Formats: sequence, structure tokens, C-alpha cells
Amino acid sequence: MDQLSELKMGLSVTAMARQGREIRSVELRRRGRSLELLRLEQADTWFALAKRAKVIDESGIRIRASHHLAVVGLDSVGVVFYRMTLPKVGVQETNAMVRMQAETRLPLGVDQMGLDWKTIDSSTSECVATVAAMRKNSPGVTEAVSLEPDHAILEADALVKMWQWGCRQKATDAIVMSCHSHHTVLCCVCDHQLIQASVLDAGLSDMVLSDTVFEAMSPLNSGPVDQFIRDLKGVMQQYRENIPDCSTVTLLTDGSDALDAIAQAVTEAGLAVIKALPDESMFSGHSKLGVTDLYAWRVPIGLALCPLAEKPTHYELFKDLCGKQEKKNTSMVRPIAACVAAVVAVCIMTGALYAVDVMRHKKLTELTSAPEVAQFQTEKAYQNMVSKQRADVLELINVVTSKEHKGIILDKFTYKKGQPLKIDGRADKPPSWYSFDKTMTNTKGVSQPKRDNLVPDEKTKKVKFGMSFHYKTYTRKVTQ
Amino acid sequence: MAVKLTDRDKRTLWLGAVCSVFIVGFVCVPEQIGRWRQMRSEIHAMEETLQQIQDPKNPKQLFLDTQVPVYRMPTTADAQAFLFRDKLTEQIKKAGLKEVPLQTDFSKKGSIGGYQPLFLSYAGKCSFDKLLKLLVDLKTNPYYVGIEALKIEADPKKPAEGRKEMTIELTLTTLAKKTLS
Repeated sequence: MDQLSELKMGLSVTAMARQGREIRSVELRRRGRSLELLRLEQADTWFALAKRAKVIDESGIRIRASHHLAVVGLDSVGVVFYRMTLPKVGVQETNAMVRMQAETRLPLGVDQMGLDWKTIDSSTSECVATVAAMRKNSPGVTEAVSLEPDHAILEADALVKMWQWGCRQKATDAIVMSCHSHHTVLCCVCDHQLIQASVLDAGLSDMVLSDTVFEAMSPLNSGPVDQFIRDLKGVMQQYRENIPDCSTVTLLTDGSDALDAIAQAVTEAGLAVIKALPDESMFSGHSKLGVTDLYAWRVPIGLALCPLAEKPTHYELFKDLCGKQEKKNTSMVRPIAACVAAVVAVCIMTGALYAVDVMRHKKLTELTSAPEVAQFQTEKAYQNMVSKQRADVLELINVVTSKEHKGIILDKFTYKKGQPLKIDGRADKPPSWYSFDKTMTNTKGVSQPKRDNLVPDEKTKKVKFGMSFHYKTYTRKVTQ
Repeated sequence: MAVKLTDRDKRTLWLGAVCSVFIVGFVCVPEQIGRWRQMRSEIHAMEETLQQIQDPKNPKQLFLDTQVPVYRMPTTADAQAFLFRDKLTEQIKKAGLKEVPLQTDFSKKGSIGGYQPLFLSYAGKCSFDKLLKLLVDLKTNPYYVGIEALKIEADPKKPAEGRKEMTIELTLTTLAKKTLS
């Protein structure tokens, strides 16, 4: 599986970190299956670099853009790591427990320290939390945070990310070593997560003789190297508590003679060394960088990779100090502006609708006030009125003279508007009349039926009857 | 000399402005909404009228055209009575009924839709079929409005098969323009 699939698309990150005397920045984003380096800058001060990297404008105001983040790196010096075994509970409860336990271990109060924690190992009932902490008002932190970055991330986290993605390393556990000019950073990685970092006082400048740096044989200064090896072994001894079977050091290198000599010295001291070189094929951009350049920019590149991860694993010790200005701006001004904009939009929309209606009304009034339209309306009203006066007498006749009425002879049919319909007739025998009466009563539309008494006719041997009823609205003054 | 406003003054001014807007809004807006609503209902009515003109085949109009296929707008009572009588006589003749003088009744009492009703009565003998033919044909009379009364009487002494003719009394209505009296 492509490792870069774990990185976010469409997000660019400008990362700034101190490397020796210089401060370097890089703008990075994921582009397909490569990491695109958009801008590389370096300067002597944070402020100058931030201006060059377009993180702040000329007047020193932070430039914010969507889908863009600014990250600063925090030196590994002064960062402490603790491990705590805690019961497995929710995130909030774990956070509370971590803070409570940290208070007993930290040299300063919790509010004076920036801390973050990660759970790295868990059983069914317990989890191990790694806590990283750093003093808030240390000069390095104050300076870096004054740029109002979105994230302040540990240099050690950056080195781990560079090792994972920049050097395409797939190991889950490792001890990553990065030699800087005056110090060396060791990162203990367990299950892809930084769990501890240490700084050894000896760096490349201390161990490598300045006039033999690029010579092939014996370039090392034996005294500092021996001290370095002793310190390294000591630190690794501590790390074995976390990674018991780990006796290999992964050295981030650009393949230079000096770093090869250090690797040689470490190997001779009985420790296995794996060299991890930046993978050029992973990177693309305006200027194609070689392994040496990528190595030189490893910390800012690693920093930029941290927030790009879909599932970030880095420590954020100063969340409360990052993006503070933005919160201040958004907390008051934006809601008011949004409300005003919404009110104005509603007013404009209402005004526009009203104006449209006024124009429509005017136009329609002109159209409908034409004499032809008035004549048309009068005619239609007359037609409507006539239709209400016109009862369907044919339907009435059809109802009473239906062929269903057997044995019935009608003698008289009297219809007068506004009065019930009257019919008189004769039936062959009473059952025929009853049947007729029942049918008429049940006919849809017939209401208020009234019958006269049946009178037998001696001459014709038939039964005379009379009946009156209303039918629908036809027998009313006005039909509907 | 320019007066410098304090934050408190500014707040007061803002509050005053906002309150003024609300007061004006509460007074004027309901009235305006009422006017707007009235205007919209007028627009709706006018659009319906124009729709009728543009599309005369809507269901309501089709029903009206079935009920009243032809009609002429009423004229003065005398002219209307003449025109109606003339056309009705023609229809009576066409249906095969005996031609008899039609009785005209200028009713001054009632009023139908602002028009004066006129009644024309026919009394005579005819077969049932001819009567039905006349009733069917009445709808083609543009002056005919409705049947006021219809009385059909057969001779009860004759058997049903022997009833070739029956007595009918038919009163029809037409409408005339009202005159000032």
C-alpha cells in the first residue's frame, strides 16, 4: 500500500525549524504519490524567515489562508518524557489522570508547562500513556509561538516523520538517531509513535575533526566519540524498557563520510546501525533536491509532514498558545459581521421582492384595466351567473321516467324553480309503487321526499300516487 | 471646539440608534406588510384573469362552456324579449311543436345578478319526443337563461300506449338590462 495515502490531500504546510545557527522553512504538500516542495527559505531570525515564507506580512501580521497551515519546530532540548500506567477509561478521564500525575513529577506547575500525552499500549484494563512536557516560557518557545503558528511540534516528532515518510521506512519500532552540529537527537519509536526522545551533547562538529571531515580515513575525534558512545549506550539501556529487543540504531544520514564514520564507530562499539537516507523519488517540486539537500532540510520537512497525516500522532505541547490571535479575532468580530451581513442580505432580498411585486402590480394593473379585459370579465361573470340559473331539467325527466320503474305510469310532472318537483301517476299494484318509492328515495340527489296517500282506482284497478321531492340543487332558486 | 466622545457616549449613541431603528420598524413594518399582502392578492387575482384569457381551456371554463355554450349579453327589455321570442319560435318550429303565441311577462319584482328577468311561456300539446328535442335545442339559444317552470300532463283516462300527445306548459327565462324607472 502506498505510504503517502496516509497523508491529507489539498493541504499545504509551511514548517519552520531551527537547525544550528540558521532557521529553515519549507512549504510542502502532497501531490498524488509524491511530496511537492513548494518553497524553501532560510534566515537568521524567526521573524525574517516568517516574512520570507509568507507566514507574516511586512507589518508583522499573520497571513492566514484556507487549506494552509504554519508549523514551528521546538528544540528537543528541555523536553521531558514520562510513562504512566493508567486504568483504561475515557479520553477526558485519562487527561485528568495524566495531569494529576504529571503535577507530582514535573519540576514546575502544570500551568507553567506545556504537555501532551499519547496512549501507546493498551490491554483490556490498562493503558500506558507517554507524556511529553516542556516549559512554556522558555526563550525558544516564546520566540516560535510569537509567530502565531497553527501548530508547535517537537523536533523529535519531525525526525520520526522524516524517517517514516521521507526515508520510506516501514519498521514499527526503532531508535532513530539524527546528528546535528552540536548535539544528537535520539528518538525512541514504538508502534510508529514517538515515546521518548533524548539529546546527547556531542554533535557532528564535536566528533568530526574539522580539517578531516571530507577525508576517507580516521576523521573522528576519539575523545568526544568515546563519550558519545557511552552516552548512546546509556540512553539505549533506558529505551530497552520500552523496546526490550532493540539493539539497533537507525541513523538518519545523507551518505556523507562524516556520518558514515560515526556509523562505523557505533558499529565497532557493538551496536547495529541501519542507515536511513532520504528517498529522492518521494519528492517533487520547483527545484529538484538531492539527498544531501533533503537531509539538510529534514527537520522542517518532517515538521510539515506531521499535520499532513490523516491520523496525527505528534505531540502538541502548546495547543493553547497556537492560533490564539485567530480565536481572538473570530470570537467577537466575525459573529457580529456575520449577523450584520445576514440582516443586510435579508433586507436586500425583501426590498428586491417588494420592488418586483410593485412592478408586477403596476404592469398587471395596466394590462387588466384595458377595456377588452373588463368586457371579458363581465362576459365571463355573466356566463357563470347563467350557468347557475340553468337547471338540467332533462336530467330530472330522465330520473323520473327511467325504465327501471316497472308497472308505473306517470300522469303529471310539475317543475317550478325554487319548489320541490311534483309527480303524479298510477301503479299496477302496491308493490310496484313501493319499489318505485324505494328507488326514487335511494336515488343520489333526491332529498326531502314526501308522498300522498295511495288511492285505489276502481275503474282501472290501479293505485294512484303522488310524490314530491327536491333533486340536487335543480329545484333551488340558484343551482350549483 | 471638537468634542471627543467617550466609549460610554459611543455606546449610548449606538444603543439609541438601534432602538430608533426598532421603534420605526415596529411602527411601519406591520402597515407595510399589510399593504404588501393586499398587493400580492391583487396580483394573484389579475394573473388569474389574464390566465383565463390566455388559456380558455381550463377545467372550470370547459365546464361553463358545456353548461352555457352560447350566450349574448343582455340588452334592453323590449329588444331582449323580441330577440328571445324570435329565436325560441324558430326552435319550437324546428322541434315540430305547434306554433302558438308566446306569452311575455316583464317581471319588475326580482333581479338576477343585477339584471331584470323576462319570462316567455309556451302552452300547447305535443308528443314527449318533440318536447325533449326542444329542451335539448334550448342550449343553442343565446338569449335563453333557464327554465322557470315545466308542467307535463297526460290524459289519465288513456292508457300509456295511447298517449300520443300531452299538454305542456313551459316557462323560460331570459335576462334584460335594468332600466331606470
